[in-house]
Amino acid sequence: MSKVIPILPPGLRVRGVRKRLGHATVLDGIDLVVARGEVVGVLGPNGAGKTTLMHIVAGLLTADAGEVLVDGLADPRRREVRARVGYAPQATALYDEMTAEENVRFFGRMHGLSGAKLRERVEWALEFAGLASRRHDRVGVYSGGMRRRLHVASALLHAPPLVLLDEPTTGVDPQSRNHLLEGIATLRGDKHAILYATHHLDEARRLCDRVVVVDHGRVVAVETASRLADRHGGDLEAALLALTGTELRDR
Amino acid sequence: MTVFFLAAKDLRLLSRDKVALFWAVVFPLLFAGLFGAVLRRSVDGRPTKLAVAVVDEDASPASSALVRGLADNPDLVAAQTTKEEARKRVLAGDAIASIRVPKGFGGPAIDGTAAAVELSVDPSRRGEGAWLQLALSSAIGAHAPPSCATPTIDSRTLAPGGAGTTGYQVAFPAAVLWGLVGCAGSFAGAMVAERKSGTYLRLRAAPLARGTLLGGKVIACFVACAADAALLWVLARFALDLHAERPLLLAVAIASCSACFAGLTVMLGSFGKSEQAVSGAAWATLLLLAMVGGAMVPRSVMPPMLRTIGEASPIRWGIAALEGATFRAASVRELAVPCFMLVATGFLAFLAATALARRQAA
Repeated sequence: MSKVIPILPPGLRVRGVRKRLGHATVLDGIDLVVARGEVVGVLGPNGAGKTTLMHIVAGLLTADAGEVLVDGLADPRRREVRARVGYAPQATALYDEMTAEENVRFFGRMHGLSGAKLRERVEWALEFAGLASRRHDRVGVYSGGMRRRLHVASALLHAPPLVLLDEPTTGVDPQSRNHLLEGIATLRGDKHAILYATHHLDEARRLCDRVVVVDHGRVVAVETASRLADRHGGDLEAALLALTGTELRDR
Repeated sequence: MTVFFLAAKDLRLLSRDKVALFWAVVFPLLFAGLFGAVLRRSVDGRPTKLAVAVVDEDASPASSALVRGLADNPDLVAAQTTKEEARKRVLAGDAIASIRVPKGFGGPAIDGTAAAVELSVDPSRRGEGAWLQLALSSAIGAHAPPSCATPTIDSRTLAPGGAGTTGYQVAFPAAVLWGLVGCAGSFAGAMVAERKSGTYLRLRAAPLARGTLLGGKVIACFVACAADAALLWVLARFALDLHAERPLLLAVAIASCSACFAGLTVMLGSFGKSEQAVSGAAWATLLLLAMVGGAMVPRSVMPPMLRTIGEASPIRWGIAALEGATFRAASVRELAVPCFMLVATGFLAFLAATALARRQAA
């Protein structure tokens, strides 16, 4: 008897997405696919359009043109599509006056979890963040690393098919960063599709299956990080500068 | 020299802080303008004119002469109206008393008695009531027809328990409204703080129905305002022996005020980009509404123009609702208008906040 293996749609498919903000064209025809179980890094200088892309995929902004499919479903502004996305924005999204457990429970409820499922996922999230023993402490007293770990864990609570992580390791110590990268890598096994925006090239090399280099709102390269680096003598930073230039973008 | 660079830096920061400039320049001007209009007469050496509502049921030459006499009194603003309207004006705090000239005032004395002129004083203005009684006595003495015995004055307060009204009862409604102003100001600031942090983005990305985020804020603010007012009431009940003429209606009035402030808070919280800006703007707006609404100076001593402007202030309706239930013994019907105005204001403010949030999201 043959075993039927379901073919999952990609976690994310972006086709020809354009976005203008004021007079500036921020995204100018972006194409991108993130398969289930894949981590795709988004690299590019400040102002390249990484966060705008994240916002469109998370349903916070509407694209002027193009198509975004999350887990096979169009229009990320719809509630059923947003339920399939876990978003950790650049700024830490936690309530300082609440404890770690209260924070994750609250965000779990916002994503429709309740009862035993909520309890189970809260435990999972606190373990993921390495904060199970500090669950009753207010987040306001946490270090930057602890906050970041909890911030990322809160985006994963409802086990979304697509995870958007916008510079999740900003301002954390090497230990916390290592903990986070190891944790994110394990999500591949759970068939999450992960879009990971970062400026840390070593993280991209270590974690991402492919990197998408974005500049002036366009995709200028899609490669594995090591192949991209190999073309420039093994130096990923040199590769990035060669692709995007040395001129300041946020002047 | 360094100390001057430091000072110059602070002055530059101050000059670029629009909220600080508002508090330093614009607000004092508004404050001076409004209070100047109210206090102008007394500063000029003249007492503040007292507003009274006059009802002439006799419509005789004698009663008309009495009404004219009251109107000519330089210390009174005597407006002729109907009995119902007069009661309404006193209940709303727009007049300190109503004077009713009954049928038979100008008639000839047959048995030596004459119809008594009825003076109904706002319970919170009994001090001025005594002066008003003297003014009315002298007006009656001057205008009562020689053919009749001098009519007496039937003087009363405008509530059954009005004679026993305490200062605490009078002060309580304004105290509650100041509590709600504080609650709303803090809440509006907290809303912006959340909007600036990542939590708001995360909540917007969550699969929540449109309006849920603002709806949650409104409910939280409503509960906080109602709890604040209820706590003030309980403290006043035990510490100051405060009692309400209409306890159930007081609960309705507090709920209406809370609904109004909840709507206003989310609207104010939806404006502005910084916590300081919104917090300052919320305080400034609410203080202005309090000033023209009668929370600082009674409406009955305000110039007519300021009273008209004050009609637009929810504080004016809040005071009318809370005073009506606390010491004016207002009826359900009389409280319906201020309560409706409060709830409608809150609802309209919520709609404005929703439209604003939608625009910001787009």
